[in-house]
Amino acid sequence: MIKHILKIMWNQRRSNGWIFAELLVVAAVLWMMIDAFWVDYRTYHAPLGFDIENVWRFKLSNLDVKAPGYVPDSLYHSSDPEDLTQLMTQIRQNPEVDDVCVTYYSCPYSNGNSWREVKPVDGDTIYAAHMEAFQMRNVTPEYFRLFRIRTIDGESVYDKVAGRHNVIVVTPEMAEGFYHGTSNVVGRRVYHSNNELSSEIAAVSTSIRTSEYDRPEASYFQCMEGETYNSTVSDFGASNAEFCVRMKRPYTQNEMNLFLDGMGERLKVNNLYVYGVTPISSFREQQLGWKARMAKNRISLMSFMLINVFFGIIGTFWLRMQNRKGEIGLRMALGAHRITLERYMYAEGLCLLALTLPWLFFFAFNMVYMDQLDSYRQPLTFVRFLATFGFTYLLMGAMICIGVWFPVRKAVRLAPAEALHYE
Amino acid sequence: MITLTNLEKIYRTKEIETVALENVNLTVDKGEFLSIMGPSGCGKSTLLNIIGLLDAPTSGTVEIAGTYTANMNDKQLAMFRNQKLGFVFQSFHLINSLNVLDNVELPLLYRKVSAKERRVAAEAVLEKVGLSHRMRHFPTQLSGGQCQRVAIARAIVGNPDIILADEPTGNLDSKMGAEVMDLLHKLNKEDGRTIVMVTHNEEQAKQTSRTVRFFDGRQVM
Repeated sequence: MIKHILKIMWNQRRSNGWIFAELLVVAAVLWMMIDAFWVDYRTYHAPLGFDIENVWRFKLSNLDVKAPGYVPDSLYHSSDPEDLTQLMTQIRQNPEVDDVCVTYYSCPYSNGNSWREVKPVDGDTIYAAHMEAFQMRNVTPEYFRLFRIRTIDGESVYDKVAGRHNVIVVTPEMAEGFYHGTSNVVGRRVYHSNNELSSEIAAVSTSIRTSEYDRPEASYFQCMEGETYNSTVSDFGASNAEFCVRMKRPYTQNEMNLFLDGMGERLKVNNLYVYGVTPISSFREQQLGWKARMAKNRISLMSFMLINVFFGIIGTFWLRMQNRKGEIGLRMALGAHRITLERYMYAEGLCLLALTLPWLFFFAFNMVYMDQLDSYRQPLTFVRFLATFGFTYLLMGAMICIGVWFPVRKAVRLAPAEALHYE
Repeated sequence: MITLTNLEKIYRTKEIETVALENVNLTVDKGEFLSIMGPSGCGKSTLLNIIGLLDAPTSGTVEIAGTYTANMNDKQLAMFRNQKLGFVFQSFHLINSLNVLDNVELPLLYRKVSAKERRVAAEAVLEKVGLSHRMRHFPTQLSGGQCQRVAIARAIVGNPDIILADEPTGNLDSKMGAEVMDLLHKLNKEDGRTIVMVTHNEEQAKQTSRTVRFFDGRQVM
């Protein structure tokens, strides 16, 4: 039967050529759309590496000289780092609070973008020859516990860094660049800028992404503990710290405001005080808003295209089948059963579609060769091609079957004598 | 071979009811060459379609080769048509995208016959109708007479007992018409096939074993 179908298709190559060309163009466009969707979807749903649920960012400031409760310099005996530590302790003591940490330009969705040059002390890579800049996050050890960041082996990063001075935690991407892998990385040291300061790698975390739309980048966390903490807080100022608090249960904004009211004087250490609170999810919305709108626009455009493709393919096959009612009648007269005929017509459409496959492979190969696919956010894997090709052909096959289904079903339900009148 | 009893065919729409055949009782013997005549619209083709199981009667029974067809399901009807009946239509009804050989093979495609056997059988019948030199041609490359001979080859390739021909020479000039009639007579006399033919041509009808005439859906003689 397939041979018979192929023979007819070949003999009708002039008219089939146009349908084939249409199927090929549509399959190519559809595949590109599905591939783009695959990249977006997979990237969006990949693990972020951190968890912001129930996490709030407290806004800090220093009291103005004229503000009531202002502590003049003469009565001020503590430093910025001490005040900030004291504030963390006071807030952590509240039973509703799960954890507290401090970061500088490193809180998720904070748009922080601090970079620093580093190189491995005993590096045996191209990086050993020169400094390489990586994104750096200044965080207190509690950061890892608060944002649920684990090591690549699933262990607690906090346990690896707590109480240790001048250690860093690297992401697997950075470990890959430095040491060609994540094993045997812990315990090695890296130089920071100008070779004066070196830090030990305390752990390799899981991959960390800036947002749902980005791929994980090579970066590292500078743990602020001891002298590192004091110097960083002194440099940037306590009131500029990103003061993150994880609550034990979900809170609304009103509940959080009441929580702050209830804390009263415990939100103040000397002139440092908390003046407001915002959920991290709000920062997320602000940062990702335009990206989400872009994604929605793209999905709308894809849906519009898909509807056009849907009607185009269905219409083509519908008309094609309408014009072949007479042939259907003839085949029934010659002894074809209606189910056999229905199958035959489906098979013919699907064969035509299947013939586009090698050409689409060729097209895909060229797209890869010309670097037109998004291989930055998602790798070009066999699974990716299998899934996108599979979905493209499933969708196209379904459209063809719908286009064939109604007119053929109608034709085979006619008495053969009536169907023959259409010949 | 064929027995029609109290056959009636009525076409109904919401507004009107058209009686195409009324109380038709007809028997065709094995090996007979029957011609059916009558003016246009008298129900000749309807009758042929009912005998050919391409259409169902409103009432009455059709018995072919000892089998009552009324209770057959779609699958049985399709198989019966394929194995027992061969059709020759006025306008040939060949598939233009298939060559002569493939057109002739078509009925065998719906039996479980191997490609090689199909090919051998099709070549044999094309030899018989004198078209072995045109096997690779397409219908659009043939004359009307040749097309009708291809249609006859297709009708007999499955070795059916009965051939139903609906004005087989209607679209042909007299010379080609005569060639086709000769072929049908040959099939009737030499192979012993039963042929039922609808025609407007008195001369052709006279050459057949028997002629029945219809008028306004009724058999008049």
